[in-house]
Amino acid sequence: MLRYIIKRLIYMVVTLLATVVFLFTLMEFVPGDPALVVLGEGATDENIVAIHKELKLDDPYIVRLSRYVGNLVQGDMGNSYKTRQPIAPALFARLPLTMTIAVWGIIFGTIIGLVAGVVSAVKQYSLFDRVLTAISLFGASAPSFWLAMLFVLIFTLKLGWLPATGSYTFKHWILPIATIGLQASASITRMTRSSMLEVIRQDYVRTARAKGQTQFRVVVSHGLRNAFIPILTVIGTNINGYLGGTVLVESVFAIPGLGNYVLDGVKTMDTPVVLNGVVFICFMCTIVTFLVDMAYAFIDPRIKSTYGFGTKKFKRARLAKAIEGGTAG
Amino acid sequence: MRENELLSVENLEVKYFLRRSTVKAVNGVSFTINKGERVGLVGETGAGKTTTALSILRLIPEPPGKITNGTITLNGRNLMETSEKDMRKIRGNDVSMIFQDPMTSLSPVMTVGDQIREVISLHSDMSKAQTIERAKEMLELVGIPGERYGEYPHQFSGGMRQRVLIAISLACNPKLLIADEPTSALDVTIQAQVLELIADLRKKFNMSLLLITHDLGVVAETCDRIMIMYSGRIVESGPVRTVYKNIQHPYTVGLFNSLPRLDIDTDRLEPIKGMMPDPNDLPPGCTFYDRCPYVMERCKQELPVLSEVGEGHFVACFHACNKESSNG
Ligand SMILES: Nc1ncnc2c1ncn2[C@@H]1O[C@H](COP(=O)(O)OP(=O)(O)OP(=O)(O)O)[C@@H](O)[C@H]1O
Ligand SMILES: [Mg+2]
Repeated sequence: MLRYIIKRLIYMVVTLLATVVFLFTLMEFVPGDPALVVLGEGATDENIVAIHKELKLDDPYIVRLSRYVGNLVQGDMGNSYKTRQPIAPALFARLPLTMTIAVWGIIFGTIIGLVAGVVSAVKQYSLFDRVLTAISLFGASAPSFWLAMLFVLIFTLKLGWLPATGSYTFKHWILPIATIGLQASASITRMTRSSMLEVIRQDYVRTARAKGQTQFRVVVSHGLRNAFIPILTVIGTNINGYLGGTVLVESVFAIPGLGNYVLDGVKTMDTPVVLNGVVFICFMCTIVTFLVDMAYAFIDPRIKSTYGFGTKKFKRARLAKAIEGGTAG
Repeated sequence: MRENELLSVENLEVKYFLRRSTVKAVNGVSFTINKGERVGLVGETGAGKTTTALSILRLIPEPPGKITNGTITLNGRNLMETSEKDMRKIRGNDVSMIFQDPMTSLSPVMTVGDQIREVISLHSDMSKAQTIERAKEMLELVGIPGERYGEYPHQFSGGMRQRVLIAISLACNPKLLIADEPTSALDVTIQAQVLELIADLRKKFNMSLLLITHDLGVVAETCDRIMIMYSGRIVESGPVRTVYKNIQHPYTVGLFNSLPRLDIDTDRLEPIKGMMPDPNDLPPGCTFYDRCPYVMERCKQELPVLSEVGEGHFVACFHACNKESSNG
């Protein structure tokens, strides 16, 4: 198991490093002089030169890259060009808002998706299944901002039940969370349905029935548990998507979260904000991916034992094999 | 109901309703199994053996399958009128089943011990610790060390997995064990071991056995009675000795002729020519007529029913019955 964790961790660090280098390089191609962004309209030549010196903008690419990575590792993301404030604290201040809608959205989406997918699979070709398949196809293909606007149109403008924007009481959370939840549930439903359909035809499900197990336990402890790996992948993809991808939802509901912070950076050409915002989102995504990988091993004993977390007997067998290989070679 | 009768199946019909067609898998099968009796059910692939067995447990996948006619009585109780809840108490407890493919019949994400424990805790009031103890005992009984309780199926070979499945099916001392081709997915060297294990344990617990197989030799060794099934019907049945000495149905004759024999010097095996009729579209008469060397005009029109040709020996064939009556 340790080997599996270490392998995943190394994989995670490498991915992250490559992403940082790639994004940093990408920002090199942003046209215009950063000093102008910092100074705004009335910039004089002297000021520009001063800023270049202050921000060490004239150092070679490789020097700036190393400096950036070096600072990043220590948690220093530099300052915004626009506000001249440090970026890291600003990002962390906005994190809770994004996390709230993303996490709750995913939780609701997962619950709805699992229940709907399982029922759909068990009652394949029933009316419920057909209606649900249509809804989830719609949910998966409708863009999130469009769904968000549809909700605002219905629940805020037409019915006047829920506010679309404003300070954050319980009511304000409902629409953004519902948007994300519904969209996440669409893909989770689809994956749960197809994975369950495959699993409930398996012989071990019949074995469970032949033991006299109840339908519910047959479906959940034998069916769903085996169907879970591909479902988990989709849940992971969804979480990753919404950590950064709430941008559109945040902007419809005017939520000052991570997404809007990065979006503002884009609008004002504030490259450090954009760069660090995206790096930060990538960082969180890698953590989620790591956790999902851990969960795989937890669910599927075959992965666990591939990486030497089997029983003692299994380890002995591997040891014996290794010794055999050693003497043969 | 006779005194020592355990199971009686009468006129069972099972159909699978597919989109374009209706598969008539079982077409009026009747038989009984007595307490402690060992019955072999033989027939080629698609004859309806598994379907018959699953009907006894009411586990036909529905849809598409459905028992369209017949009664099944277990210990005097009509299973066709038993509620699903009561059926669950029967499955794994009074009647249990071993399936064909041990590689796919165990859940890959559950320890083998827990899979044995599951059936025990479903049918008893034991505490968790007691069920674990009992599951370990069952493992030992089928020849697997109890300390492997916590291992997963992928750590076991096919033969050992089948042992685990045998442990599951015997854990609650069932009255009837149905073994559906329990060895056909296994290595030849393991086959004999597994069959022997089933035979030993059956004797030990004094269970009845319904053994489904392709192998006439296995039936001769392990069963008291044989039933031969062809396109959803039983075409010949009787005590193993009687039937093997005096085979009557041309299909059974064909089955025996397609066996390799050491005592007779032949150059090649003689498989039965042709194929079983399409179960969507069964002929009105005998379903074997177009493969039968003795086919008569009557066979194509009229369905032969089982009639007794010897002590407990039944055959559904006009040719065989004519021969018997003209002889006697
Ligand atoms: N779930 C199903 N859906 C549709 N048709 C089925 C289903 N199960 C079985 N059948 C059909 O019913 C008929 C009898 O099948 P069954 O599995 O009972 O045969 P069998 O005698 O057990 O054969 P085998 O020796 O191959 O196991 C076959 O024609 C088969 O195609
Ligand atoms: Mg079968």
